[in-house]
Amino acid sequence: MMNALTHPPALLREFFVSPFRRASWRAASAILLGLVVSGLSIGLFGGLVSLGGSLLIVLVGFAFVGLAIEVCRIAARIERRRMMLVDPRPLRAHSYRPYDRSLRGLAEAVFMDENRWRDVIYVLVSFPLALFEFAVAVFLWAFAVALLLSPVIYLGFNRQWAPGPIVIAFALGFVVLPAAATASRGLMRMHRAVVAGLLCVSDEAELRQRVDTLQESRSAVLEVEAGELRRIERDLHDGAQERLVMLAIDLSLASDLFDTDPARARSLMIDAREQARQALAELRDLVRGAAPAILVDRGLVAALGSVAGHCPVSTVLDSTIPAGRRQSHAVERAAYFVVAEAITNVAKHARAGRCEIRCREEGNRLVVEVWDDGVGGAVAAAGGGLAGLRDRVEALDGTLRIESPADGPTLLHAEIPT
Amino acid sequence: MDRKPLRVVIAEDSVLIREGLTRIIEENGGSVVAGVGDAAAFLAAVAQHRPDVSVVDVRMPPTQRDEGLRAAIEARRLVRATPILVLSQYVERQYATELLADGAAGVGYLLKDRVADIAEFMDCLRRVASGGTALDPEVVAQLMVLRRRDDRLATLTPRERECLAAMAEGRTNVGIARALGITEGATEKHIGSIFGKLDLPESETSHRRVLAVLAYLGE
Repeated sequence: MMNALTHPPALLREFFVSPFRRASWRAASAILLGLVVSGLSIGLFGGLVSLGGSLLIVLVGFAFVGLAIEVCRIAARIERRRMMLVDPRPLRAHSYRPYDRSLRGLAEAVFMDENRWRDVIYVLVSFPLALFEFAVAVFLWAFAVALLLSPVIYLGFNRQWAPGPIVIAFALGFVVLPAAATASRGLMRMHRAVVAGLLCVSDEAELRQRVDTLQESRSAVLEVEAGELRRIERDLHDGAQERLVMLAIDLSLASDLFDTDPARARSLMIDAREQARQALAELRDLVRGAAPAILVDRGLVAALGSVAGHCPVSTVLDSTIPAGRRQSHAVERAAYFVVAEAITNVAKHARAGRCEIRCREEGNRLVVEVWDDGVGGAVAAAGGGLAGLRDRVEALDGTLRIESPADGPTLLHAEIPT
Repeated sequence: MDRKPLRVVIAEDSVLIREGLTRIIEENGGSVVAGVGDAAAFLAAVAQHRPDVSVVDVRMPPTQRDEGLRAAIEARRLVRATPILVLSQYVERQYATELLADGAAGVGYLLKDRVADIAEFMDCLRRVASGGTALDPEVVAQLMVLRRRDDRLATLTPRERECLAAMAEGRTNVGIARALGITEGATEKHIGSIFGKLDLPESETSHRRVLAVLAYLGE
């Protein structure tokens, strides 16, 4: 399609059939509608601002100015719709600051939101623009209609036969009419560009945002991994390694005493065996914490079953994922650690009576949830376990949410694209 | 204790541990008829030697995952109910359930660490060889955690709980009495009381008893 249109004869043909295209008529009516919308919105905006301005001293004025800004947001919404009337490709609205019920929150959301100010700028700009579009379109369409009707006008009203000018005017009509149609579409394209630039999220901005988020989460997850390695190193150093040193000492003492004091040697060897047993137990716990074998062997559902089994709070695993289904290793690991950490928190802090692990697939996302009926009040404090989990999940382009009102219950919800 | 030499097949890919196991077994009146390092060789050895009992590591080549466990289940299908003791660096309740799923006797599942207590390990090995069961206390602990909030379990006295755990590990009445340091008569009394409180079917053989306990704990 694009290739055909860049080809000159095709372009010419498209120009002459343009009056018969529905898009042209839509564009023309959108231009008419545009004048109405922008006229009304700038009128309302101006009225409210001047009313508010005169009342600023009694503070109520701010409410009117706020209302004026709100009018612009509504106008922006209508305008995006108007653009899609002509060209149905979606225009996605830029996002606004969320606000809470407090007056301060509301004021901040209305007056400090960059995107609301963009709406205001649009309303100010769009009125002259719409006026210009209206003038050009009306002139061209009216001129074209006049030219096409020239034989009727000449013959009907002037009753004089002037074949030269009539033929020229009539023929000219067949050029001006497509010009009017094409110009209407062109004007709407231009207006759409303004709307897209001021009132919408662009793919580019969104991609830039995503790159920023990913960069942040990547360095965060590298931090998490590095921290994990430090922890393993420390645990090995303080735990198993020390025990093995003790074991070596006990054994060499025992071999020295073997002939002279067999009873003492024997008791040292029993100590050594105990040191070895504890070193093994510590290594096993360490490995379970870093790379649980059942996760690698049997996948997520089996591993979550094992986590549920280790929790001192009675825990139910509710999974709709077939037992044998495997996800990528990174996804399984992230989901596993989300649940394992959450369960640890439940056991340590929640004072819960009941806990549920839920696990399902929604489209191409893996959803895991941990719910408990404990005391609530869990927060993802910076540097804490929950914040680390968020980093882990976001590094995979997923999301993590915690709902934990005081008095509970607590729900931790993570979604990870598979 | 029965003194006829125990004929054992060992499947373990670590040469060091294989030799350690061989040494323990041969020092204690057993004879290792074959020592192999992977699942296929193990199945062949079991078919050829028909051992009294096999000792199998869960992790084996090629994937170093749960080949040993799968091989054990397969071997028990090929050579009907050949007794097998599975060893592992870690124990998982689910693996125990899978091993016991065929309902036949002569199964064990222990942490590798337990080998260090030689008398206990040989006791488990002989028990499995003679059609009993040996479950690691850690598996039993996982099951007890799962059931901690069960009302009926809460009615057991601490002593009865210890008895139940020992019973789940596969110990006989004599074994339980020895482990808890009580008389056999007291043990029998405790067990009768546990069966009553938990609604378990009474059973004579230690293996049936384990299955009943596991069915109760694992449901």
